Amino acid sequence: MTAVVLDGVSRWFGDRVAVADVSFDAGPGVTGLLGHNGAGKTTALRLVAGFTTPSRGTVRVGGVDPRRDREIFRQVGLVPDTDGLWPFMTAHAAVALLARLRGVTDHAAAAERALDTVGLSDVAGRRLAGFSKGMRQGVKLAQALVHDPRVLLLDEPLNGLDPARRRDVVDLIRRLGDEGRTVIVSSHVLHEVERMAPRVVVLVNGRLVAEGETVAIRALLADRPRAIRLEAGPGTRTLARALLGAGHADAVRLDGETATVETADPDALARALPAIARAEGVSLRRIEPIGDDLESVYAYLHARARGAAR
Amino acid sequence: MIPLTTLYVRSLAGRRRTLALLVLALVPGILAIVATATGAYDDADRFTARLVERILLPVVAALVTVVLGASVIGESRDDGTVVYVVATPLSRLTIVAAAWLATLLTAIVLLLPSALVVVIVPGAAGFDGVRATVAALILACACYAAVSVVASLVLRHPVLACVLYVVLWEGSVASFAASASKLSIAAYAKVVAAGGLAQAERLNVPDVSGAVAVMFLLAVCVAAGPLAAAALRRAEIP
Repeated sequence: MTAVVLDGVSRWFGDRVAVADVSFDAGPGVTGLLGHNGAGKTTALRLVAGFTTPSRGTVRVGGVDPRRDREIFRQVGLVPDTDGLWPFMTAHAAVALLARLRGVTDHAAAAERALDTVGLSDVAGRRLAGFSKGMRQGVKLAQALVHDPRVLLLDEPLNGLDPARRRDVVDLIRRLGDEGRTVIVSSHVLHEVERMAPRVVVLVNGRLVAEGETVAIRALLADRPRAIRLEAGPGTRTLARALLGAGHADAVRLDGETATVETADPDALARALPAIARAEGVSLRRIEPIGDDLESVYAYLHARARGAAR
Repeated sequence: MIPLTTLYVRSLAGRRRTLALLVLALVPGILAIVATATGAYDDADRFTARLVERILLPVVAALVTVVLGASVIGESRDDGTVVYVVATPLSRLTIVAAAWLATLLTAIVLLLPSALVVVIVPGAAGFDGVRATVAALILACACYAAVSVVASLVLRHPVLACVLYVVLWEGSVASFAASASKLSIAAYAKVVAAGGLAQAERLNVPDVSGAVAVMFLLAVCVAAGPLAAAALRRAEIP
């Protein structure tokens, strides 16, 4: 049975739409939930956890509605994006308590194992009040793992981790997926998701805009048209014409001594540009890729999805 | 339910606000000690009864308990820890019952010393007075806890709303307006306390027996449970 299924799920709060008509499912292995801040990732995970009711559509976890069947939480582990933990408790006490609440018989031993898994066994006896952000993330992961769940919902689990710990957590998440658990991990960083999730679901402004193998999504992004801004003084127009003539530019927009060149193959353009400029007797003053930031990538996927829908 | 109740008690005990509530809870006891030491009253029975009926039950016990009850789940929503509790197989009723019990236990720990001082130090109330006052205090706190836990799940500013409820209703209107006495937790608690206090003034209390008053207070607690559970089920978890 597919562990997590969202079918036509929308969630709105007043006139603000957080998630709009999203359908996807996740089975054993790691599924990345990718999107910019405010894209609807956290709302999607809250819907899966049963923390909020869909305005429309259905959510099923292990075949049941998580809002109605509390027993499912024996099989679900959750790392929320909120930072709250009980400051007066030790890491071990907090994790053991949650193990006990989820029905683990030997909760003390389970807490020890979980804290060891996330590399926090040496600070297990310390109060959470003194924990750094990274250590708190570790405790959040430990409590999600302590009852050996089949489904893991991890909301930005790498936030606040130093590079070494980040690597360890990525390895851990991959291992959990390899063990056959269903892991949904959200992030706004594509290359992070790429390292742990063979499959990815991309949300933009609450809408699902791409879904599939991470490699394919990466290829899709690599193939998208790019724009490059050129400044070559009075020779900008000449250079732009030459680039169009040589087939390295699909379109050019001139604005005084600045040209915005659109190309499907920015690498070929970069290789050819110096020689063309030399041949035309033009001196290049500035070359700047534009639209390579994450927002632009998501905007491209969004526009592409809207085009496909028409 | 016990581990969750313990968690909530520790959570309440660790807040600065609880220290302020302890100071408030000590007020009736301090008044009793000061008045006794200075001989400020002629009739110890009457003094004790008035302290219990006018200050302890409708104001101090009410304020202490509703502030605790409104914050036990409310603040766990604010600080994000509620997520871990609801992501367990525990039923919503168990969660709200644990919050209610934690509120009640914490309130009793804060209020009982002061209440005992009120009935013991002036020296007039016998065993019946102590027993009736403690019973009234526990029942009143149980009711206030139930109401405030429900309020914390349905109101946007539950602590403020609960304080206003105590100040404007339990401590004012219901204490003096005859038509309001049947809708007041403090009024029924006063009936229970009056059963053991020789000079109870029974000011604006419903005309019911102690047993009926106890039944009413227990019924409020029982009715609040499913209400709070339903509210938690509908609540948005951050």
